[in-house]
Amino acid sequence: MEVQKTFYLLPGALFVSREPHMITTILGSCVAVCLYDKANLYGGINHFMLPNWSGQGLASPKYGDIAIKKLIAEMTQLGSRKEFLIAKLFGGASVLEATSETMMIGLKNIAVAKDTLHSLNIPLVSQNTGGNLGRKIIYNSADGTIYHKYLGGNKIGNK
Amino acid sequence: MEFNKDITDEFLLNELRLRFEDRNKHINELEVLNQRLRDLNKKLIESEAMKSHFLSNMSNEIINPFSSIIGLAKIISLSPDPQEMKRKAAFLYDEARILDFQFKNIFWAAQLESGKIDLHSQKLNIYDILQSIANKLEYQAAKKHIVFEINAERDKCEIFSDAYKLEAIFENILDNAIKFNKNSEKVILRITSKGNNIYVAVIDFGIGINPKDIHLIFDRFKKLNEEIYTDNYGQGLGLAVAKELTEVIQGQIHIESTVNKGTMFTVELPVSVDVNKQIGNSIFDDGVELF
Repeated sequence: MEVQKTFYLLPGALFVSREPHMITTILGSCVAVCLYDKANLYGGINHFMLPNWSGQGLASPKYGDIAIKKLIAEMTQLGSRKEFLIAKLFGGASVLEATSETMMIGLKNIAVAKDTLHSLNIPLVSQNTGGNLGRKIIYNSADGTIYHKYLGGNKIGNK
Repeated sequence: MEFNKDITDEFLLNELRLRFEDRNKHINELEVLNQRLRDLNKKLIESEAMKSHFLSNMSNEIINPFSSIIGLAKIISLSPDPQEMKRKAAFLYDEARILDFQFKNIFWAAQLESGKIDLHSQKLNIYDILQSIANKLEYQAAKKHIVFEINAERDKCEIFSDAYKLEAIFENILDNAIKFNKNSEKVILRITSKGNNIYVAVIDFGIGINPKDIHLIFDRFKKLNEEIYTDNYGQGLGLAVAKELTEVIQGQIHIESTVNKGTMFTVELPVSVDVNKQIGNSIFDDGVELF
């Protein structure tokens, strides 16, 4: 069996490559959008922490609005066309014990991802979001499959 | 006429309607295209404005140190006096260091904004990192008669983290402490540990930050004291870069400040950041679902 390259995606980062990779990332209230190009058979993924860039700090893909557009731009640069992209969405849990404001971050992250994908006409083909458990996902960028596992106990409050 | 027998009014109206629909479709397509062009044009104008603003600021920041470096190098090459040469070489070093510092911040900001950032952890001693940065900034500190005082037990300062990112974080925080220190001849660096974290405090005795402005200091291109200091070089990128890099190595920056007394930046760092542990062949584990 051919050994595939691996990559660990940090929060606030994104990864796009035409070369097949197994990309691992850990999500709490953060959200990962996994895009797959059905025509060119490769994918890209981001991992954002907050919904929108407020204009303060660096305009990095730590913010959902920037992360999704940057991911699409990277894939377009590698030859993808938007009409061949499909999306899968993960994360956005309310894992922090705390105020309603921090609990809302996960939900706001999910909302910004869905809204942005919808406005760009990119179909959301599958998802596992919300709840109150963290997740580990491994994205096989060669075929678009996501291996998803909850972290820290039984599944509760999901779906 | 026989020829026109089949062309009824209804047929003509239908044909006309189809042609109108076709024309409307083309008009709609043109409108969509036109809107896209207007959006693109707007984006290009915005992008051009940002670029020219950035370039006009940057040109001073880059051209001035470069001009100094060229001028100083020429003086050194022509000077017969060893003392003069030594003095000018120190200036030359300082100008070159500032330029290097600015370039590094711009490249870090660009890398963070592109999202193409990863982690290369290794065994390090945070005391040694701070010591080497303090040495690097020695000349700049000496100009303001400032010395760094490091309070730490070196053998309790080992961590597993990313050296380049730590250097960039602390070079920015120490550079900032020198710039704004004014009530004392020292900047204190204190390293302590608790549980799985190491805390590096950088304490200056300077002008402090107004509580209402604290949230602004990590803003890119923001300089709170634009007019006060002549050595206030930089694009205001430094602390924004330091904050983001600290988050990349899974740490946090805390600030305590009193106006006219000083500021303490505390960088909280995990003793170990090892992402390789997370990459495993766990796709066959129990509880894995496929999407």
